[in-house]
Amino acid sequence: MTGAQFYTLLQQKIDKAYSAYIDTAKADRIIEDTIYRLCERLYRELDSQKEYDELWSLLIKDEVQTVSNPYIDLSSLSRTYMHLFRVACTYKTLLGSLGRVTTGSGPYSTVFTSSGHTARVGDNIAVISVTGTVTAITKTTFTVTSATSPDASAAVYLVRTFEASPYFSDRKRDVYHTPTIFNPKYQIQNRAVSTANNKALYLFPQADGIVIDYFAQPTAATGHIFTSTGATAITAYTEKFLYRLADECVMTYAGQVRDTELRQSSAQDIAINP
Amino acid sequence: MSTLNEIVHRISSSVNGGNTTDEMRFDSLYIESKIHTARASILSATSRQTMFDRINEACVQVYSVELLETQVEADCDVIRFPCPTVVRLDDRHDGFMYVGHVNGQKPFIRIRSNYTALSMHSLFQKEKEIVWDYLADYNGQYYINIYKNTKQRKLLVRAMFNDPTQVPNYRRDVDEYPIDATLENDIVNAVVTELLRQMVRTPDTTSDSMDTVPNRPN
Repeated sequence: MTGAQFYTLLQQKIDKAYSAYIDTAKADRIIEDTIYRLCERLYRELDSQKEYDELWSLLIKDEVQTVSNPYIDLSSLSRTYMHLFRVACTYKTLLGSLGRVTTGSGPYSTVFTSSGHTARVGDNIAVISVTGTVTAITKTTFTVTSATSPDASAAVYLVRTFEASPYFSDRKRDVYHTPTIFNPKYQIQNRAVSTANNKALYLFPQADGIVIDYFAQPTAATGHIFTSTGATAITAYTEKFLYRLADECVMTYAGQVRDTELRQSSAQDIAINP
Repeated sequence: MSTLNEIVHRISSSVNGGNTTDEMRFDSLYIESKIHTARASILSATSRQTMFDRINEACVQVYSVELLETQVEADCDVIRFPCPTVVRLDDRHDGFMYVGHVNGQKPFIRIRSNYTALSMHSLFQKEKEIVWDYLADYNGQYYINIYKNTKQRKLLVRAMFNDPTQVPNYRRDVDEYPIDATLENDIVNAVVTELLRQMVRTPDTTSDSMDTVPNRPN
């Protein structure tokens, strides 16, 4: 279905007595208004796979971001942030500037010497930007396999990611609510810079990176907001969603023109075809 | 067996009807503290019943420690190794299983509690073997004190600790929590019962300096 086809469908659904007043400019405003409302409504009801399927194009999964402050501005995410689903925090724990011997020619195998280390097989290790996996350990050494050769003397870090939970700093004040790297917490706050207000996700303790799932806002840039004159197929939504959207648009229109009868009939259509 | 995180989630899902969210009423650290104390209580109760049975190795942790010269007090007859607290089994026994040489084959002799350790008239002064004791210090830390060998720098300890996550080489994110399957079941049941008892009372979420219970006149 294209935007133009959607406009035709919308006209068919609206009472003929009013159809003359639905020009394309007005239809565009109704479409945009209704898309926001419908997506928000479906978001609030997200509890089954069916609804997740309908909103697939707005669900951002496992987006990785580097963090260099106690916060990350949500405007830096790849899409316009609306609601949070899940956050995991990545922490780099310094193991030291360990002695090392590297062999091989890709993959490289590096034996790090560290008395009393706590590395385990499967751990992710980082040396500057080179990352590798621990494949063997002894009491005083651990072996890391990496695609590229690690630096000969730079500090070695253990990289771990832990699921974060909400921080209720104004409600829960007990010691057990204290964030740790094993139980990191997040809180969405305003970060005021001069006169600008930034929606920021604060992380406790400060993380080196996050993995975030969130609900994105529908935008014209990604094809979620379409116009009634559009000639290209709308790919951001399923056909079922678009037919439901048409019913919702009629509902929005009926509210604007205060047509109780049209409002009731459109509500029945939505109830029959949710 | 399970990591500490997995046990926490077993408990939190049990009190939430099989589902977990990230906004649970009880914090993970709170549940963890309950797990530690339940483990110690059950270990203590079990060992009192069967003191002569072998302790299940799954409940034991081992770590070795090596002191740097800077950590040793000069000209002192006592060498002190930091050590987390161990569970109490009964009025005469605690959770230490082995304290001795790092080869694991040479246990040191433990002197009696409240012994006049440093007196010139102490019986152990005549001992030729290395002896040890476990004492608190003024700084709030606990130490294994090694006597009769001022050159001792390495020590191997096997014990059942009150808080397994305090053991130096324990990785709480990947290592198994030191319990067997039976004990895990007992701990989960004990903590779930305790949490359900707490959940009967509606939490006070109103910050008004009173014990305000929502939906109930005060």
